[in-house]
Amino acid sequence: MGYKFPKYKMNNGLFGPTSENNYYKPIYYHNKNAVNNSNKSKWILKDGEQYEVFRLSDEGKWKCDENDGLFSILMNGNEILGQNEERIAFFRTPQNISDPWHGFPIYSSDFEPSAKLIDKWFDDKIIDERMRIKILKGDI
Amino acid sequence: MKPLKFTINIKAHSSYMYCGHLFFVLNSGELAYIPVNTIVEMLAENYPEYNNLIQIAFQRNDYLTNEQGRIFLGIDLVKTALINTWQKASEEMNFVIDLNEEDCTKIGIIPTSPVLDMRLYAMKIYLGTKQGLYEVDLNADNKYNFKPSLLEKRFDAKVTCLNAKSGEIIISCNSEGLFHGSIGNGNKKMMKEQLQVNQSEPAGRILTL
Repeated sequence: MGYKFPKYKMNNGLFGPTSENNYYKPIYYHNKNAVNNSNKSKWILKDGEQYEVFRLSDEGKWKCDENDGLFSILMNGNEILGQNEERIAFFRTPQNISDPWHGFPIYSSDFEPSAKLIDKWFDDKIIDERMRIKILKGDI
Repeated sequence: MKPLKFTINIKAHSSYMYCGHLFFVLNSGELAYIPVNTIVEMLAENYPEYNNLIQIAFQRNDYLTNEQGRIFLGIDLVKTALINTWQKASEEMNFVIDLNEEDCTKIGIIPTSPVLDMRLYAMKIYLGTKQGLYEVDLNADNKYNFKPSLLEKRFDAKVTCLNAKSGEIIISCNSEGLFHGSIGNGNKKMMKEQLQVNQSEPAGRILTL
């Protein structure tokens, strides 16, 4: 764990807003203390830390039209986000624009970020060439 | 005996050894190659005290298991000297050479980066990229020398992994499916046809390569 997560306070069950005026709501079945469910991945991050992962993605406009959501990654993928060592997170676009977002850790083989987004991460130096190849191949 | 360690410093992100040559995907996006003999000569020049050992390490060492090898290494002094020199080099040395792009023969510029997988088989180079599969024919004039053709696109979908064996090439396109096709001297016109990937049929057959 190398990323310095800022402290955020929850307000009425929500974190935020981000500079894009979006809110984040942690969902209990993705939280690290939830009962194991093979269909639901679980964070190893606390609620406020999940919000930081979302905030970076939302404010960085790390949008993927193919998957209709936002992807996020910390520290070139060196920060583990999920209990099964997932290093990427996905936040599906809510059905209503006013709804809060929620997200969960994923493998790039299950949810493939678009090549356009991966190129954006690479161009903005969010990831290096090695990580770019790993994500494109679905290896992490 | 422990393996000897060789380090080649070059601005490249993929490499593949094939047919006595080392192929590189350079960071500049070019595909290039250099004969292994050239690398051995450079190493021997940089490390003259290990000249013979380096040459032995890169040779086909099947002579060590034949009758002459058995008799030759049956001389205790020879065997001990070889083992000691090898052991010293493996424990104390990291052989390093710096290669410049100019030392390599350039084949061409790869139209897209990065290269996700690379295989050489049947005198052909296959490069998997996010924009598809590219092929280079190393023996374009059908003689026993390297005369690489230009890069040609063979497949449209993102190729994340590939393998070639027994006259067939297998291509993994992640969620879009697993494809295979025959490698041959097929009709060039057929090669220019491109398969449209159908997600409802995740496994399919590509055209003759």
